[in-house]
Amino acid sequence: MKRIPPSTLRTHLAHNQATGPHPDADLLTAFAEDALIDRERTSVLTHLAACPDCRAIVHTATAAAPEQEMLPEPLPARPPLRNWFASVALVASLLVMAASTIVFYRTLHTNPAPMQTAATTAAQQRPATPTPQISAATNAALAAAPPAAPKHSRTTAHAPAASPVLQTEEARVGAAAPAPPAPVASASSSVSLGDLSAQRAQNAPPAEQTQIHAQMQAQITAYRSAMAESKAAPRSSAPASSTESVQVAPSPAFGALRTTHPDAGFIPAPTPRPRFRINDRGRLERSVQSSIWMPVPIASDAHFRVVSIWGADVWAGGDHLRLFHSADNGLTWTEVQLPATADRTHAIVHIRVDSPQKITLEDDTGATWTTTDAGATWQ
Amino acid sequence: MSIASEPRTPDVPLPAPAALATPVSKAIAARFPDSGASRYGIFPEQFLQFVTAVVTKYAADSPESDQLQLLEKLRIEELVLARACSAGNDDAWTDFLTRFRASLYESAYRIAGNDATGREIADELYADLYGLPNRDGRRVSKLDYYMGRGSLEGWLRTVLAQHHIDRCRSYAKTVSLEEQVESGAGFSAPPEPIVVPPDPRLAAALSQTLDELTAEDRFLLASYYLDQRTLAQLARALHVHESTMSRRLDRLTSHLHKRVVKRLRASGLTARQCDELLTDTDVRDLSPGLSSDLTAKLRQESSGPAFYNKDGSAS
Repeated sequence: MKRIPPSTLRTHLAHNQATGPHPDADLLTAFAEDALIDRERTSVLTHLAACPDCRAIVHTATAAAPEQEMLPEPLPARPPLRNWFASVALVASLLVMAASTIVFYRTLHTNPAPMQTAATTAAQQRPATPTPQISAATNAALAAAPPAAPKHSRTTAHAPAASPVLQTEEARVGAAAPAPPAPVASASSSVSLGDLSAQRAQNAPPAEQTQIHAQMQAQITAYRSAMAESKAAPRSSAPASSTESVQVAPSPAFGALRTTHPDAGFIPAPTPRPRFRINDRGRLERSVQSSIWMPVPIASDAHFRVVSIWGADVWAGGDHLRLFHSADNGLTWTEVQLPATADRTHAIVHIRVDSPQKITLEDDTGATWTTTDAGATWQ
Repeated sequence: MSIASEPRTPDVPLPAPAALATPVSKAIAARFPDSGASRYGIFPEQFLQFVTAVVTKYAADSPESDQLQLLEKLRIEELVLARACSAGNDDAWTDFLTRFRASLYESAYRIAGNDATGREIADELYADLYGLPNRDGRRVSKLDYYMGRGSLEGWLRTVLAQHHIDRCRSYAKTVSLEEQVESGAGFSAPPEPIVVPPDPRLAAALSQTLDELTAEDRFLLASYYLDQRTLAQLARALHVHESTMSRRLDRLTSHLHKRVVKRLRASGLTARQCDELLTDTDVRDLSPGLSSDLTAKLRQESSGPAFYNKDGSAS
């Protein structure tokens, strides 16, 4: 593209001399902010075109203004047909999206399978809760399920549809095996696990009803015995994983509940095992996530040298022969007292945990102490 | 800072409110409740007086519609704040410092380019805003000159820029004689500028074409070619996108070229002569320093012998 030489243009532009008084700071500000009325804007621009001083003021002040959002680039003008086509395409796409949304929600309400998938995902991400949470109403319903069979229906993996609540409970159980889609929507939204079991038992053929009821009773009994065992077992000797529990054979009526626990619907996801470290100031730190380390709030005057972990048992020792023990992954701590004859001027430098009951300590002089009763007595 | 809380009349002349038409006066009065004037103890009569002064200053001879448009665009709240500050109202100064002190110093830093100078010019402006006593012993604040046409923050930036440019020019005129003597510049005669007379036909065509352009186009050309402003700076000043400014500048220069060529052709020049006149690389545009450097460099490069004999002597 041919243009006037810049040098020639500069020469002629520089010949223009401004006439009249300079606009005041108010007018220059209003020009920079586009707040002038048209008549004023023209006169100010005429002056600015010929006055390098005022141009310098305007550009300097404008450059010093805080950064503002970039003005949107105006789109080039389109032919009317393209505008019309774009509008129709936009409306059509909106209609398709609306229809898809309606179909999705209708499918969601008539077929609980998507919800179960979502619930399964949620259950997989849910943090662990150590205590089983089966409700008393569920137990009662399970126990009170009548052995008599109803007249119709059948029991297979295609059980009647469950409510969202039930689906959630089932998802907690059968995260690895989602339930097959149910053909019939649930009538009640507050049905519990026991209610469903009872329904399935009622809907089963007469030949299977007795078997189903017996399996239900077996599951209840197994669950209760498992609960009793877990309460009776000492905490320190509890297995690290709470998923090890009573094994129950899957029932046809519980096809969707493919689990190893009668209360497996409430078995939490495995808890991420915390990690421990001692920082450069001798403080004990705990991390549950990958990169976040939080100080462990135990004795602030303690200076730790060593930490040792066995399952949920954490042992930490340091200066002045101070020893701390946690049986719950570092949530609660107790200070363990060593024999009074120990020289408190030394520090624990090694902790060897052979078992939850047998721990051996060693201080910086080489002296050792051993316990075989989880720290109650030391030798 | 202790500021006399006694109100005083600004030194700027205030025309009588009756100079405006009734609708304009009514429109001014209608803006009083939302102006915040009552918070600073400004009565409606005072408000009407200084707003009328603003409208009269900028649109006394304009039609009523222009006056109303101007009034609509006025920054009434900030104008009231400025007047209250210049009157010495403590609450107004508190509000002013809260709202504008930080931006004032930040703008000064940006304009000056360094913290020390920025703080200096901001302090100087701040003293002017507070007011200096005049011959009569009364304090005159620079805020009296704020008319509310733009934002108060923008006005402060403009005043800072003006002050900084004036300051740079005054410092540029002060030349250290010792430095000149040390560098030998004190004894050297200033170079004589080479004035290249433009071709009269081209000058006439270009002048006429430039006169035909709109004021905004001339402002654009002057800012771009004379002040060496960037497209981004121009776009910001004219509130358009940078790419829009680029396209507009392209169209403008192309249009300018076509119009000038048309005028030259109309004056009897051939197309070839027009091209020669408008050739981009003109040796006359070379600065004298650059041409002398080029001459010396060429002379230095050609000073050696072109060929050598086998024994190494020059031929």
